[in-house]
Amino acid sequence: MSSRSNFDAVLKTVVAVSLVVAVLGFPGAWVQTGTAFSAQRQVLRYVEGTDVTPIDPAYCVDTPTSSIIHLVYDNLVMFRAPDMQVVPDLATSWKIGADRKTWTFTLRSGVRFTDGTPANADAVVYSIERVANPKNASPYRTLFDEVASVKSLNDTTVQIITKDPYPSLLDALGQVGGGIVSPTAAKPYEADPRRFGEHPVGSGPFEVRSWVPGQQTVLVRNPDYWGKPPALDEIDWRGVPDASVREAMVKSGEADIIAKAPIQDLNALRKVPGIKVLAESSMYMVNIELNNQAKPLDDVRVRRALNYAINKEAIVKDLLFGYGRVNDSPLPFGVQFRVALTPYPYDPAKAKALLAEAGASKFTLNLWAPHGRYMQDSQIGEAVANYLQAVGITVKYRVWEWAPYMQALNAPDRMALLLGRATPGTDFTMTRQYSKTAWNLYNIGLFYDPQVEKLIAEARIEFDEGTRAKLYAEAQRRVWEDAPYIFLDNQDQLYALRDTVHGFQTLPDEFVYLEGVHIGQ
Amino acid sequence: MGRYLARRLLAIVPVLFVLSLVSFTLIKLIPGDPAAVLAGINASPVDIGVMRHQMGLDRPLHVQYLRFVERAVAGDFGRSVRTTRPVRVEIAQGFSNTFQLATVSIVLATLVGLSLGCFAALRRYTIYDTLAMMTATLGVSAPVFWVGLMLIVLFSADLRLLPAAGNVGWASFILPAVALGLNSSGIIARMTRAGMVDTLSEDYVRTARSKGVTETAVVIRHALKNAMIPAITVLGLQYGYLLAGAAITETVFAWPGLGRLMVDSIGYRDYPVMQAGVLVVGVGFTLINLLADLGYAVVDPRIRYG
Repeated sequence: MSSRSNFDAVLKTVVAVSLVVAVLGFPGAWVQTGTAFSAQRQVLRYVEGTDVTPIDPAYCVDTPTSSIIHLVYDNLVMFRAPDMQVVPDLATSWKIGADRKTWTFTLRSGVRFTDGTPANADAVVYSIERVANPKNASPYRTLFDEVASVKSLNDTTVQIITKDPYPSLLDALGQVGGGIVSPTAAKPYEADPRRFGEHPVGSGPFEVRSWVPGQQTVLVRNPDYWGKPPALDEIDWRGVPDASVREAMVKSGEADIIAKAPIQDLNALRKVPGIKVLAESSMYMVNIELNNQAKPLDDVRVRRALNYAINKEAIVKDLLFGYGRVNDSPLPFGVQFRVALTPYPYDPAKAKALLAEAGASKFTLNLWAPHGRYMQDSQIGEAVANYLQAVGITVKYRVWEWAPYMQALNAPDRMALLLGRATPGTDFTMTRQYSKTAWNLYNIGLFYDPQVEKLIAEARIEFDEGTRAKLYAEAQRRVWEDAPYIFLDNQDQLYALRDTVHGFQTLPDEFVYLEGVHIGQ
Repeated sequence: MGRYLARRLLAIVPVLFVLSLVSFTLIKLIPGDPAAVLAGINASPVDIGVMRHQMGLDRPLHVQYLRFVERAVAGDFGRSVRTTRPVRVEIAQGFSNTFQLATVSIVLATLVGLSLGCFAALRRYTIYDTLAMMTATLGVSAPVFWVGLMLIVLFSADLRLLPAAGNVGWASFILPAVALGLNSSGIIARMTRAGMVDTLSEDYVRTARSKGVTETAVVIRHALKNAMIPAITVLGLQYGYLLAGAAITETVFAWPGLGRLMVDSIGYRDYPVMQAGVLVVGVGFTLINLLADLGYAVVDPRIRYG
């Protein structure tokens, strides 16, 4: 008797509760997917492949979150479309002193952070020092290596003195690490500075209304922004890891813009009514970085042979579906002073001849590639391995997960590593990748050419643009001939948008300009 | 019953201790340095060193473990390396979302599985039985990411009926719950059928029928309860498994649950979240099994705990 009523009671309760929950929840059944746009509020639903990490200029290391940083914070200067030129942002003008080391920046007056405190010279000084302070272990610390001192002369004047003449200072200030934070908001977190990202306060066109990692980040228009007010009222930013699911979302109207659209479906997506596809050049260049000190890669003939052995056009056409271009410079696309050189053509016969000449017809090469980090990364690695085998090299190909790969970059037995890089700034790239000063830091290929070293050092302190251009051109040519890498490709950045989205622009460094977007018929 | 419960709950403590030790050690054995991952590719080794020190990673292993236990006992699992939020908050958010999805899935799976199993048992050895069990097998064999993607393509992209991703309202539960529940419903169906077939041939069932009880009453009121014992075992295990966070489904549907949190943490070498996650999953699983055991007592009056 009691067990029957027990069981019945349980069953009835379960059924009753489910019905009640279903009925009560009905009105909130589903967030509006916005198939019709509302004239009242402009809300943009933006979907990326990864979650938003803490929104802090000192600590943001992933590209998608960098876009949010540019929307929430001002810098002294910013990069603008279409060709990455530097333009004033919080600074309206600047003067360089006769010693070529003293920079005086004049700031816009009356700008406030969203917490009401003034965005003045003190805030600029605070922000730069916060990044440069070794105790804070900011990944952008070296951005300001050349800065000897930064001072506020008055509320609207900042003085930066560099150690040597340094024309690339503007490049440094425009990067993510140069974002200006509210000192009032950041000071409470000085003991644990990484936590500032929980309550980010900037002075940019948008402010952070909420940040829930794994769910969504909501940005709303900053009503006190000093510049041109954005048309959007709100941006709902979500991370959805699976590319096919992102594709479904833009097709169904659940997303207005998706980033990293699946490359193999792009051509089909173009034909879907209501959707447009955007493939823009990205600064991201993917190369196989060779260990220039490991035998036989220390012989330039061998390195050139490796370049001749690969059919790069085929890789771009078949693995990247045409969404990219063969790399034709040691510098990334979109960087100032980049010159287009002639890619090494596909010539396996020449490759074999060069290898024979260098006495390296048969050797074993460790080829490493990550998986899932860059577009088609492990597939490209496999293709390269096959091409190299075809000219007689024994290839030991290994695919790595990203976290251990980061440590493998400095492994003593490394020989060839597939890596993608995109650093805005000519001096940064040349120094980081091709200078001996960066050995065992970022120059994992241990490349060193005394001539190139000289050119980099001269160009770094040269203010005259014409002379700089010539120096960098010569440096690029030499690096290209030295073939420290197997130069592969420059990728495209791939977006799919609904027809109702207008004004969407991106930069080669994959920063998305959402402040220019409006939604309409 | 009270003493039994108390004993069972106390037994969780040694389980937790062993779990924490094992997870701590195993996680440290995984190659990859969280400080390096966090610092990014452009950081210098000096900065990575500073970060390692701040994260306490340069202390000897046993010291790190003791610090972890000390804080864990106070409920402080530290902060996520990836998001800087307290691990408590990350796990609570993940667990809450997974709990909701797992519960909906298991309810769906149970309803479907029980019905299918009963249906098959009542028409045992006929073509309907075969078809029903084939359906159950299909449910078990279909890979969940494929099912999930197909559901999204059909119901979100093409028909625009349901959302594709995230926990955005009750309609967003439907597709992931179906994808997740499919597997479990197949298993429950088979177990139910097996249990029912056994029970329906028992003497007391024959007695009930000869008393004039309707077939429906016989099935639901008499036979089902006893047939459900094996099904409850399976249900408990399945629910525990789902609570551990079906990582694949959660990744496909961008569901902010525990499984996806664990996968993301592993990729980032987010040790604090990984360690707390393993503990939470362990406790969850143990509690579910306890519930399952208690469930037997509800269903079968012969079972008494003391």
